[in-house]
Amino acid sequence: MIVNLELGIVACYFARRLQVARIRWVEESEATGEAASAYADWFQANPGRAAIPGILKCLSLSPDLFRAMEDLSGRLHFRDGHLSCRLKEMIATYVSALNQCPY
Amino acid sequence: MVKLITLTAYKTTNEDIHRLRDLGWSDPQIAEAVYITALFAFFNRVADAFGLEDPNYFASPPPRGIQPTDGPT
Repeated sequence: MIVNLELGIVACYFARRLQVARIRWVEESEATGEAASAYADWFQANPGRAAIPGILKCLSLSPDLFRAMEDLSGRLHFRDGHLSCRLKEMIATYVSALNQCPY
Repeated sequence: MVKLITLTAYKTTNEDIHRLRDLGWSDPQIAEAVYITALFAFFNRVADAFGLEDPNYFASPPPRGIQPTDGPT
């Protein structure tokens, strides 16, 4: 019984981590054409990252949008602007809580 | 302000902006707060729609003072 329980917990943990979206996105391994080049550029711009963040993979169905949102979040979210990056991260976290978004 | 823009942006008034200015916020800062708030409205909805995390994961009660029935009516 204990063994099953542990397996269940492990399976549950991995099930959540696999992040299989309910809308079929483009996996890194199966990307071709525009999606493949968008992914390749992302990996090049983010050395040392093993996988593409789930939120960006959601945009892989429209590679132009993938590039645009990556550019936008780089310009607005991930750098100091009129507000510090730190303050914007706090706002983003609060908004995500208000929107009940666990991701 | 962030909560206002997130849940009921249509209720924003001139007073809301004046109040922030009185607190020392510049217009560019107010604008950027609106941009980041709206950007995460986009990311949150896409992430939840795609199901990136189990929505029940968020079973804990909603943030301070917000009942599930709150929000845009």
